Amino acid sequence: MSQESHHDHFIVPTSVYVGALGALLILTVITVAIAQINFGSFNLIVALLVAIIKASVVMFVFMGLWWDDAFNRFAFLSSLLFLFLFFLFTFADVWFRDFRSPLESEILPIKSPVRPAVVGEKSSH
Amino acid sequence: MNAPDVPIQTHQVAHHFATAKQEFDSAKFGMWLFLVTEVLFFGALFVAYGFLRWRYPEMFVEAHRILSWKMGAFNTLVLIVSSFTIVMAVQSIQRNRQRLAQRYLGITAALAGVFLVVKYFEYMDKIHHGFLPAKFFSGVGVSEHLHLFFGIYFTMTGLHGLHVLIGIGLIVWLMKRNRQGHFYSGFFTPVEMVGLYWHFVDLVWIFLFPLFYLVG
Repeated sequence: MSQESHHDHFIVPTSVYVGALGALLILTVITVAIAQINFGSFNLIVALLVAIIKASVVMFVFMGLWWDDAFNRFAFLSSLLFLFLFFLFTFADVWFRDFRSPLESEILPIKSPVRPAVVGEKSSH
Repeated sequence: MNAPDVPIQTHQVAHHFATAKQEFDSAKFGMWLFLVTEVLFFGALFVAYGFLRWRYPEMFVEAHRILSWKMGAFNTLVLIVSSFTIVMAVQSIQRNRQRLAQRYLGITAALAGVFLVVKYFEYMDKIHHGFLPAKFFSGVGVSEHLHLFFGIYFTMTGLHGLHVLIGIGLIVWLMKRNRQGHFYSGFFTPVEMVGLYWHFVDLVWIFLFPLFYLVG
């Protein structure tokens, strides 16, 4: 086993990092542009897809997962599996719950602090 | 390989490691495990976001118009460029270009500062209009659940902002050590680890930006 191997860190060429930067900037412009057009619930899917592509570029290029030990790749990407399980079980509950229960107002007698907008008054500033 | 351009203090491998490679690999694996806990930490808040959004879709449409997408988009670009500059700082150290690395670290810290300044103006605007969480809410709105949006907004962006603040501290610490010649092609563990942390901060913002500012 070579004792000198620790000096042999693979140095990623600058051009690869510049390419990743360019891709991320272009994807940001795309995601902002698409959001200006209303496609309904399709907007959320597109925004999340673009965000996932951007996140992959950051993880694999900037964080170097592409060139990293398979063990580190496995460790970090496993967190995404657990995140998925977190979402899955939470929404498996929430989606099939009836929130329109007439008792809800009695269970949660919380008064909303929001002052209602008068007709003609803008809700935002 | 370039000769280092500052006087170097050679790194001594800690006595409980057999080789420098083992030391580096252990530190890096530890860093990845820390980032796993960070994913789940923010993950819980994304689950809460998902629930609120699913429960009150019209409220989110109203609320996201209150946020300035231009400021959010600007901050997105700032963080992406800062991710690039810190990765270039790591690469410069690997090539023994300590002075260049120092410049890249300085730019990264400055960009992080710009991010926080923009965030400060955004926060002040929301506070001024009374768009605050829960009982502190005193703004005007159509949806009676508007205060819930600002609860999750301030919690998530606030925790993210705290990470940015800690990141600035870490980068300044790196710059101090780099000036003292602690980092070179054979030892750059702290630079690499802070780099990973900083990319993670960028990663969180990549999801926060579209979910809060763009999609209503």
